[in-house]
Amino acid sequence: MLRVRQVGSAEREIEELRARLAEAEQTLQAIRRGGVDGIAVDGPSGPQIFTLRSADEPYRFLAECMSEGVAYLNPDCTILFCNQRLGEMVGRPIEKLVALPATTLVPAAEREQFQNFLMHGFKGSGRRELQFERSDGHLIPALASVNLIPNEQAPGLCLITTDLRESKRIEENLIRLASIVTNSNDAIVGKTLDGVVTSWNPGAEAIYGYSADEVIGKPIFMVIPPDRRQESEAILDQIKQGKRVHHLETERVRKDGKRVQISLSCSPIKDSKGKVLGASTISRDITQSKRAEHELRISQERLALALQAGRSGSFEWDIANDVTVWSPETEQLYGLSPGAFGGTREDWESLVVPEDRGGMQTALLQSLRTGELVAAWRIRRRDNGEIHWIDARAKVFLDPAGLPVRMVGINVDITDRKRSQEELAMRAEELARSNSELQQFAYVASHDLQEPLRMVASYTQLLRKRYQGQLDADANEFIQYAVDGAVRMQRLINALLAYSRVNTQGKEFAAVDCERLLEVALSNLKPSIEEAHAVITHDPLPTVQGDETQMGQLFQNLVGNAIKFHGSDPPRIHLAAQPQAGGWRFSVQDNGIGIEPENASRIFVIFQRLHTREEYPGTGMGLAISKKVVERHGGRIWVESQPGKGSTFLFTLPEVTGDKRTAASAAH
Amino acid sequence: MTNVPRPAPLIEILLVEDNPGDIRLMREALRESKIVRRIHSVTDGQKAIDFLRKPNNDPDAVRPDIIFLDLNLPRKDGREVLAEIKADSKLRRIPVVILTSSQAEEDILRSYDNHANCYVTKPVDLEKFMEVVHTIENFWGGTVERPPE
Repeated sequence: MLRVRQVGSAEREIEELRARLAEAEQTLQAIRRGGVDGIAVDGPSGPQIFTLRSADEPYRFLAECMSEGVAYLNPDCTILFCNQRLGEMVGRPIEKLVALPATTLVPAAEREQFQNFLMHGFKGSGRRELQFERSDGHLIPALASVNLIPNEQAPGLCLITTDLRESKRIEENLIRLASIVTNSNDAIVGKTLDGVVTSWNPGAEAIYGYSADEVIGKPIFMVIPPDRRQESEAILDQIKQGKRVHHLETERVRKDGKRVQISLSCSPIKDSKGKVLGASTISRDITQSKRAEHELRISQERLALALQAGRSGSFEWDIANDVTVWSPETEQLYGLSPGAFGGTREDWESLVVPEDRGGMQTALLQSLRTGELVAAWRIRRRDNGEIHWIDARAKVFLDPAGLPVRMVGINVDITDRKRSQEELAMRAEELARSNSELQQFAYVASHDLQEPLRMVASYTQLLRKRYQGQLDADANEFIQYAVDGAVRMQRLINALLAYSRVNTQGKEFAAVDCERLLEVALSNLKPSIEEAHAVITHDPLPTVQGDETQMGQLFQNLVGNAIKFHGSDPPRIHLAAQPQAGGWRFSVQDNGIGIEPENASRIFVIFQRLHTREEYPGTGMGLAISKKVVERHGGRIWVESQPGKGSTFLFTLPEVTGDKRTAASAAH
Repeated sequence: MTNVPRPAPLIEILLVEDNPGDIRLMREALRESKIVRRIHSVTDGQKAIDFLRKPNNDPDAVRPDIIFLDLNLPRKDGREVLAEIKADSKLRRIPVVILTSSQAEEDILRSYDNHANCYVTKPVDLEKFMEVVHTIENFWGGTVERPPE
């Protein structure tokens, strides 16, 4: 530390310091040149003198020229001499190194170890890796070797250090590269120009099934199928010319015999002079992606077919750029030839009928908010000018910020559906109208038509009553016909009314016990049963789901008919019910007059009679009503008969769904 | 027999019927009745209501003992007339017999829902018609206790 006490002494001090600096400079130069024989070093036990008699100038020069760092240490391991290279390695000027203990070159924690290593040098030599600590704290990897310099007068150590930074970097690179090769899923294989395998990574083992031990030193052709051999040799020829092969898709055969699809790239391995020594091949298993590609193509083809079959096409709207791409099927839907669609929204709108453009706009804008498009609009086909209905459905895709970027969807031509919907709606309306007309008719028939009839009947009767005895037989007969006609007319109207009411006035279905229905029907028919001496038997009858009133009417009609159309013998009638798939089959068998087969279906039509009223009275509506009742219950009715041998009327009813009473448990 | 029966008061009938044939038929049926004093007939619903609502001081005002009411009538139909009678505290006790040619279920149900006292379908046959009228006459005119005036 410089202190100025007074000007005169300060100048003296400066002068002195300059002189010492010059002296140090000269010493340094002398050391460099070898012109110094000894050096005095201040130590704890006073100045020590070291002489460098053994190191003469050529050697020092030699040391300066080395690419290694060199230091000459005294037995205390103090640096007596070092070359420039060492200074560079440890990041300090050499004049600062001289007279420093060598241990200060390494981090504090490693000094003791370093000291031991150096001491080892006195026993001969030593060699180890270590790291120097630079003054800025950086650690420099180095290889150090220490050798005893046998000198009787002043034994010393020669420390030689090699900077390992570059070789460490190369080594790490190599390790990294090796790790890449080892961990790659791709097969990385080295081979000679003759095709002998020289390296084989785990990726290759995975793809081909052979371990490195199994293939290294053997020809690569073991994984090349015979039909690819030529190709493989062609690749080697390319390599020999120093050329590379890029992304060649080919086939190899695994150890287990299976074929594997690969994509390979092959590069020559050259020595430093550019001479080709071998080849390095990187292959990737593309079996999966090939299959996926194949499946994608198939599913695309299928999609196209499905779209065509479903009269539909797809579209994609790039919302940000307002560009729409249509599949050829969509173009076809709009009557455009493939590729004729312009791609703008205006192009699209121009195909939509003007009345529907507003709705289309609204639907599109709304879909940007909701994320989904469900809309329909009418278009005028470009090719034939026909109006068609298009149903459009799409999904909106958002960017990470939540803004709509893309809409993908399909268009379907729903013209046929629309048309049938309209037709259906029209039919339904017609049906509703005709139903309500029928209801009205039913009411008219039940009231308005009966009024005048009643008048005719009542007043002709009143006439007869009031003028009894004053009219002749003819008058009485005429009155009789008039009354009879009016009464019959009323019956017909009532029958017609009953017929029309089967569907309109039907009750909800409930469990109906057919045994009980039959009892009621038979009690209603009691007078005619007695009159005809009819014998009626039946098997156990089930409980079914139905309209009790109508079912009762059905039984009464069928049994009543069987009684009415009896032959010369008293009627014998038998009822039965057979369970069958999905329900029951009822039969009403009689021994009556029977029906000609050609009339078997006529009898179920309204007002159809096979006999005169005089032979068999009736309206001709009974079986028509019966048929309607059975049909309302989901069954069908028919007759099996031969004239003179009786008839069997059969009808089916669907399965019981409520009360599961079986025929057996319902038996008498 | 010393026990002379109390002479039953003769009844007044209001017949609401638009068909002159039916009015005549009813008159014929009741021609020799010992129970009926008078048959007042009106030919539409409005006239029926007017008849029933005549003020008491009107010399023509008559409170019928029984009303025969057809359903299908001009102007105001029988269904409305029935509802009005049964909603009127002064009239609701008068027995109302629906006598109509309608056999429609909804008419029958609706009439009883509106408190008709009975519902009768006009028979086509004259004898049956007479029988029905006599039955009603005897039932409402003699068998039952009618509401006191």
